[in-house]
Amino acid sequence: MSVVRERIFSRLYRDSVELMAIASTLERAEGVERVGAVMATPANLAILQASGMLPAGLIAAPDDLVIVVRAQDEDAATVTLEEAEQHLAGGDVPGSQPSGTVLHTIADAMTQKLPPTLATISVPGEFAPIVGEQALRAGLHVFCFSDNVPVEDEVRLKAIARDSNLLFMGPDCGTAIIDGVPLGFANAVRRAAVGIVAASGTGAQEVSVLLDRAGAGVSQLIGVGGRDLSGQVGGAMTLFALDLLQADPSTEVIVVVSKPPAREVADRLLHKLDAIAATGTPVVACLLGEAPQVRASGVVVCGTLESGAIATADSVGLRLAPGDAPADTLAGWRAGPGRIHGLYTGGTLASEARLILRDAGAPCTIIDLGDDQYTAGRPHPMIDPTLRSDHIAAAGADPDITVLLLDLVLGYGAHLDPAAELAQAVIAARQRASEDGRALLAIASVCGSPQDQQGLPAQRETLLDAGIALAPSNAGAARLAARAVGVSS
Amino acid sequence: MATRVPPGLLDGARSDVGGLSWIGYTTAHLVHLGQTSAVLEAGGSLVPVTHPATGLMPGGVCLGTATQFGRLRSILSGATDSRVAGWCGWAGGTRVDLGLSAAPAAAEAVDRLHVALALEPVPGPTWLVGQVRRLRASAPDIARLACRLDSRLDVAVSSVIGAGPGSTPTGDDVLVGVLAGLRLSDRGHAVRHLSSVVVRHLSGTTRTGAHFLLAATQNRFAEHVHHAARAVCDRASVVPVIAQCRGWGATSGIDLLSGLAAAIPNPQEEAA
Repeated sequence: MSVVRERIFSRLYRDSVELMAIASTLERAEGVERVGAVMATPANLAILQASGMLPAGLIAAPDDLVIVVRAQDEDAATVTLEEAEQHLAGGDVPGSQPSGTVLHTIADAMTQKLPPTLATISVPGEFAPIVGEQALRAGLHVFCFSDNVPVEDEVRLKAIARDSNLLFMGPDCGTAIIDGVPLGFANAVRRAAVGIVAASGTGAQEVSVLLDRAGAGVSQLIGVGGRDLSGQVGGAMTLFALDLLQADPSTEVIVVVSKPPAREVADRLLHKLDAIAATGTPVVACLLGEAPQVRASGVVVCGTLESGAIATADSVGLRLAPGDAPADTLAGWRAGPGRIHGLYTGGTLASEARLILRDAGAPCTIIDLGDDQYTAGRPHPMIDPTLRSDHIAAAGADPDITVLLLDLVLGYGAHLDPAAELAQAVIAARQRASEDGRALLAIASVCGSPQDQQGLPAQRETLLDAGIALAPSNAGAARLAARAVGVSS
Repeated sequence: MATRVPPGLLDGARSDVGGLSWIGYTTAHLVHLGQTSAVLEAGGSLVPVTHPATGLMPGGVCLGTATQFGRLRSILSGATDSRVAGWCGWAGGTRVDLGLSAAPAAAEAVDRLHVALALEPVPGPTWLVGQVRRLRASAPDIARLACRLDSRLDVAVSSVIGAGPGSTPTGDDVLVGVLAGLRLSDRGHAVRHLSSVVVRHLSGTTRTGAHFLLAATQNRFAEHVHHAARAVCDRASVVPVIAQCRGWGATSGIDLLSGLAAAIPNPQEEAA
């Protein structure tokens, strides 16, 4: 028999984001069935009553915050209410704060006994330039995860960084590994001799996990933000990061990963890479969409992430052959009319798939759900998969879609069990398609290393159990999708 | 001892011309301190003091620069007393009219907005998602009843006002959105009918919710509502407006936009 208990906080104002985070977190505790954190307005009390959550004899006013817990026993309810009270008293959101001292400003951080050398910024985009500039002025390297930052601010902040001999990684920087310390979504990969400069978060992740699979490893992975090689930013941080890698004693091979750069910036970048190669350092330029070539200087230019990883492994004497999914992966599937619908959480993975499918002539729509337009005011889909699940549900009802093409990205900052959510969404979409008399095929690749916290084998197994066809790389998944609609890539 | 607002902090600040009843009170009380706003209380009125990126709120003050807001926040977070002094003599800075005027809706924009809102996920636990969706879905009915001067509006409003998560509950945000949509589409009779019903039910919600609802009935809307209104006039603004709205509270921005969209008649359907 469940018990319902409450605690009232008189005239307490708390942000709704905070209250929902508290309720969601407490609801996951053992023995807890449901937690409500609402203002005690008559309408909310009526809702609590309708859902069996209104404690008997509750007396509260509309400006009172009431936390209600329905739990399996008295102990679970009491513990949960006490935990809620602690969160509210501290003004903290469970799971969002590190343990230990909480510092509110850059100035506070600089007064610590052991001052920091790097700041990570993930405040909303309109505030990020302010905090970024404060950090640079305090002499800190910056890893700026925030997106929706105006390009003018990016140009200005990168100029300040270069003048101060500091890195400004970002904005919208998803991944970095500096001296072995992972930042953002980075994967748990080996440390070794490959230095990566990436204007592409998931591109760098895909290359680093493929290298890890080959037995190679990463010395430094410097993210520079997706716009760094645009005409406006001019590669400011990429060129600076290359200087740092050249001077780094642990780096023996250099790789640049990017979506297609602006033409004039690509020329400047390749000129710089030629100069590095002339010193004897092997260099791979993995520039999506560029025609593959080996330049006179020895710089290897590759047009996909997969070929970039293969060339890099080769340069350190290792063999990498991700290849394609087994021939029987599509057994029983009959290619029919319709298109491939790519729903990606990784922007560069989406770009790579788009290129491969375009070259193959396969009908497709590819959506990058990590793009600024989808992430303003909400977590990145690699952290919160809800948005993609909604899009997958909509795809299940669309008669024009026959193949869903998906990525699953693991890593330090990513969702702890993304496969479970993805599998559930795909099963529901396939069920919906089946009710309409259609077949819907789902194809995915997993960008992750065996050391990642989510557990690579378990994640793969969850997807396979849900009937999702798996390819060994993102490029392989795109090729498999092309085959599934009857196009040879 | 009261915390003192230092000289210069209000330089360049803007205030709501229709909500200056608190001017003249020398001391305010701090009700809430957030990342981008501080809510004070003076003379029985709530005064939201906001960061420039948040914009001016009804009855509030928007500081001129982010640095000024950061300074205020830093002072208030270190205060041991909830009293805030130092407003004496300040006349409200640049006074802004937060009234919405009628604006022509574009059929393509309205269609696109409805599709985008239908696809918009609701964050939070499952039970809450259903509640928020139900409240958003009530907006078209409320707008329709208001336009028809239907007496059943009273029941509809009473079931929505004060309902949902947050100190400005979802239902209140939806109602503010409907009032904004009716203003934009120039349906004065519906605005008056809905306003009179809302005012009767203000005791059913929180103080903050009542503050913004009352302002909406007096045609005073936060600057972010004015920005959101662009979405019904210009197709290209729909995606950026939705992106902005996601940043207002956990669900507030999209709740408000849902109410606003529901109250705008589609120009094509109207013509037909």
